[in-house]
Amino acid sequence: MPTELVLILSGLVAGTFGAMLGLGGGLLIVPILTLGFGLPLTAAVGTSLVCVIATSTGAAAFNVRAGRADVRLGITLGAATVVGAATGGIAAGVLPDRLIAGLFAALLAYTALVMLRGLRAAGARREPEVEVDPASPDGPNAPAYRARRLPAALGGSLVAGNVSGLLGVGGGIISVPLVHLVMGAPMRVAVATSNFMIGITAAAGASAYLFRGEIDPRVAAPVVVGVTIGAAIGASVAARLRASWLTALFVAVVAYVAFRMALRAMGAE
Amino acid sequence: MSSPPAPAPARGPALGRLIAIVLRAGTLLAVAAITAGFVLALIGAEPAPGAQPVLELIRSAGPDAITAAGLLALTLLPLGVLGVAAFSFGTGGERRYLASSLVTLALLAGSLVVSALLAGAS
Repeated sequence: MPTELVLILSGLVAGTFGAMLGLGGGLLIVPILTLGFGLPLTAAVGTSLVCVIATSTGAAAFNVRAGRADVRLGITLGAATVVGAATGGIAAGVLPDRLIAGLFAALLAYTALVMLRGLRAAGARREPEVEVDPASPDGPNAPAYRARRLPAALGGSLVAGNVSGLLGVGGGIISVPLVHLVMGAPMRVAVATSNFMIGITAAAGASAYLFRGEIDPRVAAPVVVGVTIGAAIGASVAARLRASWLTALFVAVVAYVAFRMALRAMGAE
Repeated sequence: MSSPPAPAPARGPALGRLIAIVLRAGTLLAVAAITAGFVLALIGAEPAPGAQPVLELIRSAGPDAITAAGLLALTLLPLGVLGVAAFSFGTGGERRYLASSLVTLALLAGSLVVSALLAGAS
């Protein structure tokens, strides 16, 4: 099979999984490109960030239009994520590959643990319905709530942005709990707002890789195409699927990839 | 008996609609350029340029320049989103969020410039 086709399929799988689980494709694209295609880690991270922008902007168009994303909050927190992502992207140019692989393995392990806990807690609590205020300036679908603890959220957003720029992921694994648990936004709003922020964040990180010349257009193009199609498929089937088995499978895959990345960090691969 | 005052014109939906238009159109155009460049490069059996700074790729002309332009457009798209948001907040009189969006816009634009300068210096 031609390499280009394999890259498109890889992007398709990463985009579909990412959209179904609300994680974005970055967590899978970086390991696929490094472990599967032998790309240098920084090249994989840069390519992943461009894919993250594509999936974020595609989904954000629907979320913003429907009033599900809190644009004002997203833009406010975006200031901190941009600074974090830019410094992360610049730092990646000087940090050793093995250190980045080690950090990525730690992020994957953390993600697997968070998802495992979510899987166990599933069914134990129900997400409260989003309160709707028809007089809200964002229209009848806009949620009415009051965001709290802005300084703490800005600090957390700085970390989320840094992780994004350094490791090529969207940072949703940090920003969704931040907006939901720390700021008190309803879960659906947190997911949609985080998705909106991710595009802004990833742009700051991706630019460092693009200008340094670490993104190969013949690799990035098929992956972006695959991820974009996969994200559309994932978003359309997500509502019809029972997510628990999918999450369990994803946890297993992420744990395995974390192990392989840890081996790479230790120089054993 | 006087009739109740008419509700103030809703500014928000215009903000959401404008941002959605920019996001959708920008994503479509950028992904279309990336796809077109990639397909043209495959059809023309062009030699792969490898990883190069994006501006050099664009200057090189040819199918990979189209792909590179699409990648750069995708990366610059959030700047457009923030610009539209700032405009909308400004015309709607939401000074606090106008300031927020301008700060984020300035930081993002600054990070792009710093990245370009650092890449040029190295």
